[in-house]
Amino acid sequence: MKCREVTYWLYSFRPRACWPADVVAHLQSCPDCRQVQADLKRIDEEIQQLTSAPGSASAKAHLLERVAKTPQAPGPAKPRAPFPWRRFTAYVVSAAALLLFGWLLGRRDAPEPTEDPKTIEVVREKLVDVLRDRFVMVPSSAERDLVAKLVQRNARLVQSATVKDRLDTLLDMADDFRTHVTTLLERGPRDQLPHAIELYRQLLNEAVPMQLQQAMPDERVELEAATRTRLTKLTDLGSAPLPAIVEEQRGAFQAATQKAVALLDRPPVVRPWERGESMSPMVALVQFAIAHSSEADALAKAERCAACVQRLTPVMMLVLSEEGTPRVELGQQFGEMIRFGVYQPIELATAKEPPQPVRDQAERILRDTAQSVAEMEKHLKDAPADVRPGLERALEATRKGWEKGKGKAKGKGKGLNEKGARLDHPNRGPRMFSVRAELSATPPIAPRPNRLL
Amino acid sequence: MNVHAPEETSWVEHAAQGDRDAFARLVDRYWDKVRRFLLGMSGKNHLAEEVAQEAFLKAWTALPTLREPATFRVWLFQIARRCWVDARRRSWAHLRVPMEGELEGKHDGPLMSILDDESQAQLQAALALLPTKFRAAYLLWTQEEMPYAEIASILGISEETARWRVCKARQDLVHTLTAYLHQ
Repeated sequence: MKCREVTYWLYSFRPRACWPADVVAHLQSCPDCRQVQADLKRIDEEIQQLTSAPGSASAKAHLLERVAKTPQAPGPAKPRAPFPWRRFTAYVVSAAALLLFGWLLGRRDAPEPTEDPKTIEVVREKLVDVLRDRFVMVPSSAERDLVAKLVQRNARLVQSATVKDRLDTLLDMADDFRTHVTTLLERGPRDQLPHAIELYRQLLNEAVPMQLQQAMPDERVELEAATRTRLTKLTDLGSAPLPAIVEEQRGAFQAATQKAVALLDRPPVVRPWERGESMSPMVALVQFAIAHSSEADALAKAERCAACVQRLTPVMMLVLSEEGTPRVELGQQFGEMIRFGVYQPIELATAKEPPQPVRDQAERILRDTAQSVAEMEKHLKDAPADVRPGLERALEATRKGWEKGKGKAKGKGKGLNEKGARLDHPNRGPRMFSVRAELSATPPIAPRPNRLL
Repeated sequence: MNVHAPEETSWVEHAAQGDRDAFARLVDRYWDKVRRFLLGMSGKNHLAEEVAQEAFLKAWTALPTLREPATFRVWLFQIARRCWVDARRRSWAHLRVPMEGELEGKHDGPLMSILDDESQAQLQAALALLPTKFRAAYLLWTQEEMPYAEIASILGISEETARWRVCKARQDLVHTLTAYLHQ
């Protein structure tokens, strides 16, 4: 054993400890290690003597006096530890740091928006006009375009002699709806989308199949194939990315088209017509087309078309007075709708000495239509010069038909004059243009965007 | 471990219940030990007595909270050490200055008195030069002849660390007192 190993035992353990035999043997043979052992023993003894000097007796006595005066802590239980504010603060700060780190990490990893949020014009302040004490909704620019096109299509529809022509016209109307829906999707107002798609669906499901039903067997296959081809093209509404809520409307339009294709070879299901139902201008135009295409009974066709004309007349007065619209053509076409949609079916229904109920019904329809015509005549008197041609053309178009229809239906008349207008109408009077002037002086109402959608 | 376990445990239990006589017996047994330890740590007799009084008083106050009466010695020296640390913070009396005139030696005659003073001064200086943590371990080991396990408990260190500190303290003392030992 070396001296270094022995000194370890000398410094760390007391002499009376169980030193190993090697250490004891080394100490017996090594005078240097024995000297270290002796030095350590001396130091320990002298330091112990150094600190073993007796203290003052008064100190211990004074301690016992203090003990006698000092009460002990109550009970064996440990005093309640103070709330560990430092530890609690450390936990709170750590948790907040972790949350902040996670939030920052989430923001960094969040994908960037692929498109800028676009404000959807959902609610548009609709202008109203007053016509004979009734509020008339003024169509938007997109609606005015569609109304003009549908009037044109209906005028052509009522003059079509063949099934193919009527079918083409109805599909042209459907294509007008596709254009209208595309405009609404891209530029709005998108709140009109569901209404436009529903009218489009009614047109395809009621009017188109009925025309195919009326087709001759030898031409039906060809017409059906052509219709299927055109309907397939109608599903194209573009592929521009749209907000989700608008994307649903695009899907609804395409679904309506596909459903119409699937129902082409099935018997059409025409919704029963209810008298007096409220109709917007577009509804009236679509119902006019459906009635004229699907109604087999001439008098019923005249009645439904006359109801549509009545609903359309106030709006047509506004449209015919608008600048930028083809007033003459629109007037002509609206007059043709009345002439061939109302007067001509009445003429057919009353051609061969009809029974009295038919004559009465025909007379009632004529009276109702005469009110619309008389309304146009009254307005014609106060209309500005640039508005007059459209109204004149509409009246001119209805005149021939009126003469024929009145001649057939006139029996026990109820006070109709030569122009068909009821003389005792309580609200007659040329108020439209004066009211429009009052409204034009009123400051417009600021539009209120609807942020819910 | 407590070498006086049977009777000391009984004194501790009685003292914990408020028996001042039992605590007086504990004071008689440990007063010199604690004061000697504190004297070795501080080098000042009056300071050692003050800190010892404070330590015993705290032990009396907190004795009902002691769960293991057999560990009274370790517990008491823990209190004494903490009291000395607090006292050192309050004053700089722990500075490593020679403990001249504080530690009393044997005074058998004028010549022996001079020699004792010189020897004590060197011993005091060597002890004061030890780092505090080494000095505490060495004093507990050499004065109280405590095992390393108890030293470790009092100082709050491991047993091996306690052994190493004692070893280092004795090496430093031998190195410092070489001239003294071989003069």
